[in-house]
Amino acid sequence: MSATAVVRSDQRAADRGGPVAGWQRPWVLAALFALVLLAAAAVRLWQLGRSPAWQWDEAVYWNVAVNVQHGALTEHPLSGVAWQPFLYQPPFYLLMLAGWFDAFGATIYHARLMGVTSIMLTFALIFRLLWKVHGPKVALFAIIPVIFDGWLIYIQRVSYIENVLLLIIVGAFLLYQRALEKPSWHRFALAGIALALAAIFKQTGAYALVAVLLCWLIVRRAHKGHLVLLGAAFAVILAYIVAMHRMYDLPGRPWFTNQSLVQLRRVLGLQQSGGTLTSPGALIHLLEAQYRYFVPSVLVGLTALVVALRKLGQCYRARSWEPAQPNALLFSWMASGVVIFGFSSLKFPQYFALILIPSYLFLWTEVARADWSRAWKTAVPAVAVVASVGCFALTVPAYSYNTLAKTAEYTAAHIPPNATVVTEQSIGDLINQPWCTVKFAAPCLHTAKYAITWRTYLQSSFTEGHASFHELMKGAVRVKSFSGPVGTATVWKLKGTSS
Amino acid sequence: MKRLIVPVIAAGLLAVACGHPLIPKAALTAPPKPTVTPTPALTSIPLKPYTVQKPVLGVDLYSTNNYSAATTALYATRNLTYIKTVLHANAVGILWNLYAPSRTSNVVQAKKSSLTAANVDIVAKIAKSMGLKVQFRPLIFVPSHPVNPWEGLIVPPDPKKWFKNYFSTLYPYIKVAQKEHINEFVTATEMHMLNNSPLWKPFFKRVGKTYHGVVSYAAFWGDYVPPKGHLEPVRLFGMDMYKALNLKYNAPLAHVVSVWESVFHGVPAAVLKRTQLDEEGIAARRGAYKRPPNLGTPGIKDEQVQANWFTSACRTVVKYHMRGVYFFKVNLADNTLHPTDALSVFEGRKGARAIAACAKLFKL
Repeated sequence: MSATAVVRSDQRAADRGGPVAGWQRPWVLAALFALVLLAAAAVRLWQLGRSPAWQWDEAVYWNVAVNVQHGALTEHPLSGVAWQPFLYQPPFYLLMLAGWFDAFGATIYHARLMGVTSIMLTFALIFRLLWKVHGPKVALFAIIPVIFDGWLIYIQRVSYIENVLLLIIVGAFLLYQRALEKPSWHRFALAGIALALAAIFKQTGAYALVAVLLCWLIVRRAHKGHLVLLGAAFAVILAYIVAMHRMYDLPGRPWFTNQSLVQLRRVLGLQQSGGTLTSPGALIHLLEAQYRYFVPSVLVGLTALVVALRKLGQCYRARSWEPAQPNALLFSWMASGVVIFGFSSLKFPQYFALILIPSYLFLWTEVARADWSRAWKTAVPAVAVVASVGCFALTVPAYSYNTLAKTAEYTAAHIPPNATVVTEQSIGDLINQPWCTVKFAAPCLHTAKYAITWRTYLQSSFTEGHASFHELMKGAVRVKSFSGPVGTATVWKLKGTSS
Repeated sequence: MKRLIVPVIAAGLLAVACGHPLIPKAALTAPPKPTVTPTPALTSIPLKPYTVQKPVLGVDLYSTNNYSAATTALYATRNLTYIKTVLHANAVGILWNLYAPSRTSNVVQAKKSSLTAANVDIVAKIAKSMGLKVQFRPLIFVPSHPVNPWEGLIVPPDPKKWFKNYFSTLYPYIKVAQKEHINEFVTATEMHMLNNSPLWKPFFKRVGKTYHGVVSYAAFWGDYVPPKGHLEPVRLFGMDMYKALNLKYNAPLAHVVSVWESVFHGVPAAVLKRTQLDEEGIAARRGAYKRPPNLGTPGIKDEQVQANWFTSACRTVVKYHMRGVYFFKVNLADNTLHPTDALSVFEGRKGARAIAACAKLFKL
């Protein structure tokens, strides 16, 4: 039996349980969802300009998008090294952000507004996807604890690329589900194109393609359709690579290739990257030290993992994917997220949203379909929501000290505009002074007057700095320090040039 | 089908044909002008023919002081015997200190504590009489920076003057090298900040006019491996492998070896077979894999760490058909029968046995 058939029959069986209560009518459920969505938007917009403090990537994307507004795809250029565009991420998000800035204003707060808007659209699409797969009642039941998960609320208030990436991924899955339900080659092709858009919007979005491959393995049908999907996705990705190569690989300056390879090497662990988790122990320590408010989210996530593993065990015992078929898409989405990001050497906090959303959706749809009493089915997600939202509320004051903003303000007020500063990427993007990166400070060896170091639980300028940076720091005098939950920035006056 | 394919192809073509959006014109037209020479390729010079030979198993004999001729001969005989008979090495690197007054000085000089050229000659003679291959490798120290006196941070304001002074200081030793027909003169070690200087080429040429053996240079590991590596214009290369490896102290040998080998991924085979590991040292200490150059850091003694590091070096040499390896170090004044407890020492430890085992690995 096909997955869709299983799902639809399952849904119909649920519908046959008796006369549908008034509040269970589809339009009522849709209206309830609209109210939930409003509440979701409100909780994400609450104190958005104040908390959380600016995150590392936000400053970088803000600076590049502002430069895009002025016609250059670049960060704040480094002193003493050849100019290069910013191609570590595909340019689409930055183009979109620049357009948003044109329309509404160019600050990190405005970037966050775009992220929240995107997430609201994402939830609307997720609701539609769940509706298609499991029916409106399960869709509403499952989406509420996801929308009000503490970690997701927190991370979605930051202007990460993932906020928009998720919109594309969910849109692609919706198209894919549509193709599964009414198979035709052009529906699969469209889904393939949408999946490829996710991969070229941010490289990590390629995990959605893997999810579809796994789903194909589970549902085992529409083989030609899936091949068309893969072909379309491959064609779009190839067109993107060729176009980017033509536009941004100049003779002797292969910017696109070099920067893309850097990202690939970072993912494969061949090149180190600051600020990423390297071990489960570090994750636990990080949770305890910096993210202790999100214990409820962790517990729900772990429960989802246990449920998924149990499902996998059922499949193994049955020597068939049939137990996973009713929830094939969500199971595949979650599994590909866990496996791919688990093996990737890059583990940034925002990546967890790409795993947690499918995990939560899988968990709560399984709970909705479980043979539990109504009281339990209401109580369990309600407890999760209350604990999550309560913990999130604590983060608003706790994460409001804006280290990066204070550092930028101090630099603007107290460091001469022509004084060269050696610092880290994000701070370099927030200041107006000429700057060199700590990772290669040699060009500023004889000119640097100040250094601004950065230290978090996961990274430190002193461990990642180049030998030239350490040379510069000899005899440096600490001037000012700003310490918040995100990290500690310290302004140093350098002894002088090294001569 | 056509309805979908046509727009996709059209979009692709449009993107391909739209020039270089969001790149300032100046960046398109002006050639890149970095103040630091970019080094995309390891070396731009054509490599001269080289036939792979049996690898050299060397040990550095390091003199931090100068002694009378008689004492030098006594110490050298004692420790070269140890190097040859206990460690089964077939080569010795003779190391001594030269000094720079500061990192930004144009001066490099021999001091009273520098082993004189005459004493270097004595050590070289004894080594040759024992049938050992001989390498000279002077080190430069910056004593005004006691925390990190590393020569890699020397940035002379007048590099021309610096190279001239350095050659003058080195000249007596170069003459000894030629007189004794030693096998190799490693003219400098890990001059990281000067690594990209164009003045190395004339410097090597000048050394080669007096000394006709192998003139080489021991690169800081970061200046050797891609993507930032840039090799000096010499026929045969050298490097000091002190890269921090993210390994636990109890990592099995096979794991240490594979991580070691991975350091050289991306280095062309033609470069590898011309390369010698000129200095391999590590403390017999837990955690030393993560900071191999910190030989003096105190900690918990763990001889296996040192032994695994040394074995990994030898296996890497074999795997990549490299020229050889020199282990750092036996001090000239050491009494190898009663070695000190310092963690940097390998005498009398598993590290020494690992070096001796390399002789078998190299089929010496």
